[in-house]
Amino acid sequence: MSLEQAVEAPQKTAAEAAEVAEDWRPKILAFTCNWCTYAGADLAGLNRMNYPADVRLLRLPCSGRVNPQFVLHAFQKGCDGVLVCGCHPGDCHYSTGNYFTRRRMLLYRRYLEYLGIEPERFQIRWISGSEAGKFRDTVVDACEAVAKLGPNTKYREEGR
Amino acid sequence: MILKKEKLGSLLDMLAGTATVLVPTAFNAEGGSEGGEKATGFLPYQAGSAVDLGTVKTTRSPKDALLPQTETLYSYEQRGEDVTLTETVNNTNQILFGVRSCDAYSIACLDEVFLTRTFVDTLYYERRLGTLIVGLGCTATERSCFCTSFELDPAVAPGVDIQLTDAGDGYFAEALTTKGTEALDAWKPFLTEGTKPTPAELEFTFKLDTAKLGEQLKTMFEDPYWQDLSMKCLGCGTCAFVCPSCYCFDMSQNNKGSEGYRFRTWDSCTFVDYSMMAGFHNPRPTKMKRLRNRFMHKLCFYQERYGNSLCCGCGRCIELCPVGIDISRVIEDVERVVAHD
Amino acid sequence: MSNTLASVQETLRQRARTLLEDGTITYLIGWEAGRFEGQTTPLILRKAADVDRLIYNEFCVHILAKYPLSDKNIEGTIGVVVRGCDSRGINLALKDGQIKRDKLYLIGIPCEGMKDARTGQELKKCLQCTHRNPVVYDELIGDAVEDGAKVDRFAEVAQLESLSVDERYDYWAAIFSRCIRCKACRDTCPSCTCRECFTDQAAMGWQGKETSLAENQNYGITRMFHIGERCIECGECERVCPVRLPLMQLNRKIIKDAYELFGEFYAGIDDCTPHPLDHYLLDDVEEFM
Repeated sequence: MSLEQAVEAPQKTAAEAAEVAEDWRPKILAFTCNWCTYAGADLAGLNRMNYPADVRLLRLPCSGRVNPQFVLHAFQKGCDGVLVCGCHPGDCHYSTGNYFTRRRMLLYRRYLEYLGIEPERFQIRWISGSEAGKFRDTVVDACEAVAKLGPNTKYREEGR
Repeated sequence: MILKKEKLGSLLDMLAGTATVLVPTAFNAEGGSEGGEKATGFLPYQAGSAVDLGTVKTTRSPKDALLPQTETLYSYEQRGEDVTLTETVNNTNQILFGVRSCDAYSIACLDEVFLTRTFVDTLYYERRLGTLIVGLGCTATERSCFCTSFELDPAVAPGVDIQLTDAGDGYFAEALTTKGTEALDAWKPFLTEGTKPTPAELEFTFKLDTAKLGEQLKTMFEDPYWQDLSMKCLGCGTCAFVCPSCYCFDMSQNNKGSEGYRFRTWDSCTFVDYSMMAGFHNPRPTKMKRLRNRFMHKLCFYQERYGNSLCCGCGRCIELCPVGIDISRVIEDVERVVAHD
Repeated sequence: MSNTLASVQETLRQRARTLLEDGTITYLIGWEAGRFEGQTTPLILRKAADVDRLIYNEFCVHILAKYPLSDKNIEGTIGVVVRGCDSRGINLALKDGQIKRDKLYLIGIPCEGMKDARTGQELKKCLQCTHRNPVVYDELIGDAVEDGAKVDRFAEVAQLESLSVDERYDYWAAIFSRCIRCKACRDTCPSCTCRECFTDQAAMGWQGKETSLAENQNYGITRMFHIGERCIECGECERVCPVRLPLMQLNRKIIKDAYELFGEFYAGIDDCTPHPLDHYLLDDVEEFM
């Protein structure tokens, strides 16, 4: 980036929301832990529950595997919202993984909000393998909230 | 011909209509961190810009205008069997306004590197060709200025198209190249008759003897001096990035699916991945070797190839090095170390 | 007040001479004068004969805590002059297992704040300093001074928090767009001790080489969260930034939240207390149900 671009860049403010195409649907990435949330999502499927196809699941061994940089990268690469889901505290397959996630994400969520990302776009939920309904509700709510906000223009690599 | 200082604004307004005019301007207008210290650079002039011709050295050097920190070389796209390559073409039309001697000297150094000795760097050439350089003689020095140590005249910037000399309430403008003469014609409405003032006598806090520097450095390549010096070094790239004449770059690419682009970015010899090769072999694996390369390149290797020093004595790295590694002190130390051996 | 800077400097020189002569330390890390008035630079003092180069005055702005780490396999002992911030950095390194305590000989000096040589003002980082007395040392020169920040460390953060999310984004976008990615903030940080930094791993995709707003944001945001609540608040990142970015506003946000969520905590005041993200409690704040 030349200095010239550097100085021009901030003049494009976040408030200048991109024109929203009519058929736009939010793109939401959900990091799901293999032992609980992913199983919960599976159960939701078995039970023929309906939820928006706007969410993409990414299966990880544990919610503790979610490097905070993954979340930022997701926004940079074009996601409009990010969900991080894991087992309820106490239920972690690896005993303690999600306790650490909880502390880390408490800080990271506030940090990203401080840096200008709407809190609705980045949510963390505990969803067990039997909570198919909670999984569906979480996804529905997140999609609605993000759809209301419109496409994410912040921290995008392109489209600024 | 004299350009009255009150006419400067209207001249810049006029010039900004014909080209991008880059003038020293503060770019953290809202105030910096420590004590609101400002950082300056050559920014495009717009009506109402806070032009700051008084700052002796800008934080960011005019190197930005000719060798941007990131520059796309070409982009590529694959569609089935077809691959399209699109070269970057720089249709540069810019005026670098208020370039001091040290920075002008550095631009001459970049010219040597990118335009001579059999290879011409197209992107640099296009930028350079479309750039008119307006020099400005210094009327003051900062504590870290030592351009006279490299035989530079702070009153006359080498290789500029138009030279401005402060004449109290105005600037005396004279064209030094054909390009400059043509450009100065357009300035006529803003100029009044006047004679060239005698440049101010400037006081420098120090002046170094650099005559034998290259020869001396050659003999101390293996000296333990570098080890102790590099212990202080943090390995950041501040010195290289604020330097007006550092030109090392690194090439990389951004891929996205079947398309992408290749670009070059500034590199710094103090970075750990400087000169890292494919397969992760690094001929300069230690901080000592990298920092030694910095000073050897600046003061010895460049001279061997091009005949002059790559350091222009602007002193930016002296002011901004986080740990106060001071190239002028290194130059003094060379004398001492060589004498000691 | 018995701690005049001149007397501290005198004692420091005497002690440095003795320690170097009797072989207690192999070398001492301190400060020496630079070329200009008020300019200082770190000094690696190896010979007792050079002890007069060692200085201590109100312009010793550099933190020395990171220097011993580059020589952690040394046979002998490294002497380091430590003030509050340096000693917290040393503690952090000790806790992280970066260096062994017996490799270090720490000469503590209570510090009343350093000044910017160009403005003569006390540095912001020093005004906001909470621990002026060294928290770990082998010997102390001078009497303890009063601890505690002279200004509200979180005032700037609170002010930013009062803005809307969009305003905050624009504020930070303007700041990150000016970053030149010289990485001085990382290299000077006593909490940054990774052998390989993510920012040097372009090939792995952690950090691109391009200097664009997105890459600068990735660098600035991730770097600061990597340090997170381990920040010892020495403020060096902000001091060394050549383009004067207010980087401590990021650290302070994390520290402020960590206080509110997990209780007051000062990184590096000892070498054993776990950091907030190093451990957990069963009854931590729960907002993800």
